[in-house]
Amino acid sequence: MKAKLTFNEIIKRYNLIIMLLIFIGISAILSPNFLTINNFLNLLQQASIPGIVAIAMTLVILLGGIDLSVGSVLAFAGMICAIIVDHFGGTVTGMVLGIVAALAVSAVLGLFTGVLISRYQLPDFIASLAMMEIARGAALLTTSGNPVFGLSGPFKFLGGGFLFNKVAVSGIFWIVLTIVFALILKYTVFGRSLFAIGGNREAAMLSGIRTKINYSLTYMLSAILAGFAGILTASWMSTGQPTAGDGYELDAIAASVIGGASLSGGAGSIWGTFGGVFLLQILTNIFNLVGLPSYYQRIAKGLIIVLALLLNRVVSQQKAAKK
Amino acid sequence: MQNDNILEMIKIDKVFPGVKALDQVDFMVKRGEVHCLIGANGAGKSTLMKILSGAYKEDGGKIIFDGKQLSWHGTEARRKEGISVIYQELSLFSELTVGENVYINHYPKKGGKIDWKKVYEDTQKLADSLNIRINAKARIADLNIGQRQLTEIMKAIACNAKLIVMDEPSSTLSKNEFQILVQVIQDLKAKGITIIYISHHLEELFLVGDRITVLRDGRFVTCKGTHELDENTLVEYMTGVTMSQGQQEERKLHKVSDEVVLELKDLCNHKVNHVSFQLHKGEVLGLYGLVGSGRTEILQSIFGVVPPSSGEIYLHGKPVTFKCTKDAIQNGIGLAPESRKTQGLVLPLPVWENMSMVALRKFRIGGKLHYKRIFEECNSYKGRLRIKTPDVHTIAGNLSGGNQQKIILAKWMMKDCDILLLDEPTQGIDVAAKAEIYKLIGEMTQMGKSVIVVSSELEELLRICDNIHVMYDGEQVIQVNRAEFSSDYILHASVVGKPSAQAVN
Repeated sequence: MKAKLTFNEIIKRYNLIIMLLIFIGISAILSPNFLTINNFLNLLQQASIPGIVAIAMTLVILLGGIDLSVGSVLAFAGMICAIIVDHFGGTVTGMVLGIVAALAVSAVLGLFTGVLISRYQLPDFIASLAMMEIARGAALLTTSGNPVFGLSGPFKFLGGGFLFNKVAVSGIFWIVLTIVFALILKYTVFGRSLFAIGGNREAAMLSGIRTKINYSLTYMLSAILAGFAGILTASWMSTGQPTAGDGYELDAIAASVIGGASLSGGAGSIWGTFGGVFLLQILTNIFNLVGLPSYYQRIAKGLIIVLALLLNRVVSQQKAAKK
Repeated sequence: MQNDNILEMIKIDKVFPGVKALDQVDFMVKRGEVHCLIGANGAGKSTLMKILSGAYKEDGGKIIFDGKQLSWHGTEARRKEGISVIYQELSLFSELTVGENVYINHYPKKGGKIDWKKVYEDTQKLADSLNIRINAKARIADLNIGQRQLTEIMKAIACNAKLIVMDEPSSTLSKNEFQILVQVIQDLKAKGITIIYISHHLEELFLVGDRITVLRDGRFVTCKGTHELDENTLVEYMTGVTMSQGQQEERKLHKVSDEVVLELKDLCNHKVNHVSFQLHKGEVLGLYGLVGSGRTEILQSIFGVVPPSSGEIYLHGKPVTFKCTKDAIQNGIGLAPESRKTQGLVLPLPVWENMSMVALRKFRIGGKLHYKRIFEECNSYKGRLRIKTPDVHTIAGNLSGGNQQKIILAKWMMKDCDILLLDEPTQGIDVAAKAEIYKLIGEMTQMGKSVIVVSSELEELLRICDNIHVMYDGEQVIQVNRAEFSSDYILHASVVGKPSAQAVN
């Protein structure tokens, strides 16, 4: 049953890993500090929050949709949580209440976006763009645009804590969520439904898959994940920051696409996205280590997105041409 | 004689894999006439017109247009020669105005800029000359279907068309709109423009046509003036006496039980009116009719895709209403839709995933999908249905039509549904795969399943069905039992919309 992989198939399947290795190699040459455990643990912490947002984005992209509101929902959830934690003076009660409230509000926002798309047939780009504005406005409104400083108590451990003084707790959340969602996609009916709907919505509907409900549910999940990332952000910075998460949606889309997701839906993987986030983070990291201004980073990021997609496309076209 | 004909298509051949679509077809059209082209489904009229328009290349024969032999350079070259085809699905830009659509290919220019004044003036002049009441500045989206069609005609004339092919122009028109179309056709004729008119509705041909060419089974049958023909002789030409004995012998007679599993009572939706029938356990029920006669829409209402506007559906004697496809599936109904590629399969996904899509829940153990069992079952269906694929991990889009259809059948067999709705199950499938699919349908009825088959191939229905219902324009015309099958009778009803006068035998 196992067919022998051709060179092209190897490149297609593992292009991300190959690119990662090349980058790690280049980085190691450029900076002696790169290949150290401390630096990698550092990377893990830095990549964790964008990584969780990217999981959210990948789910939506698998469906054939897009969710531009993740960055704004992150900020709004962070603000709600921060205000409640602050109000209760950093107690455990405050923490629990804050988290529950933030996730609940995120879920409602996501469900709203999802229903607009599935039931009222707004284009996903527009519906999530609207939610992006609404959630950002709401986040700013909570405190008239002022940050909530000085969050304290056990809440700080969530996003800012380190196990053994080394391993970021938020990084562990990222890895656990990656594993959980990779398993959901592979082993649940819901997960497989996302691939079916993204691949051909009408065929999925005619196969008895409830496309509308799945759509709403996925946007809700996306918002909950974004909200959770918002809680971690507030905890990491000890601050509720209404401008947090600005532009995260685009990074998340980039990571998903680098990881093999197709914007037309039906293709993509959580582990691919994990690699995509890591790749983008290495890029930032190495520019910082070498001390180049961040302007170069953005140019390089753009080039990498193009490169990753071209590599995929060229290989699959060669495959198609052979037929 | 030679210069009398604007178009001569001589001895045209066209072969598709497994079928000879056109066999030495001759088609001659005189300058300035309205020439009707008719034939039952699959007679070859669309193929012939696609060859004329340049969409297909003929395998043999030659085409002489306006005294010049045409070689094949695609549709754009033919349009430049003066051949315009207006398809059923119009090709207008709905957000643009009438004038913009009419001149989209060759805007009049003045000093390098588009001369908008001229665009609208000329469009209006053109409309007036054909007595078309239409505003040149109206947006297409705001027009009704009839006006859109007239816009297409204007567009063809603006391109200096000498010959306009109208493919089923009346199928979407109201009576009034049709009257206007008839008038416009007369005006076009007066201007010396030649028209080829294709329609299923025979009475129209006598209204608009000068001569009629009949095709049957890819062959030229006759070409006569409308005054020499009447509806009955025309139907005879269309149906021929091709199918007779020898078709039905091979099917083993199996007894259809008296148990009614599905019953429709006065079912209506946007397309069909008052459809009633009973489906018995172990029965194969055929729905025959011309394309667009409402066959597919009946299946859609049974399957919960299109809610019925009135009437009832009874399943095992109990009334049911399905809000979505899932409801229908949970009640043991399955549908293999008309278009395999766009409705039946998720092409980018592998075979196993398509096969298990409906029945996926049964492979769960404690909420978790059990892949070993999925692959085992998919492999067993791959063997049983003889699906030619390297393995079940192959992408479904890479397989041939017959194998794709088998995947869809496997999908519903895996779910073990009692009633299977098959919409054009063998369209575009080679002969060997067809026979296998018929065999599978037979096996399923042996196991007590019931099947409804929609097909445009009468031969196929005669071969596999116990009962055939004929649809015409959303209405149920006749019902024929296997004992009384007669291809003439069924074809006649499907073409004319009423049973023929003479008795069946």
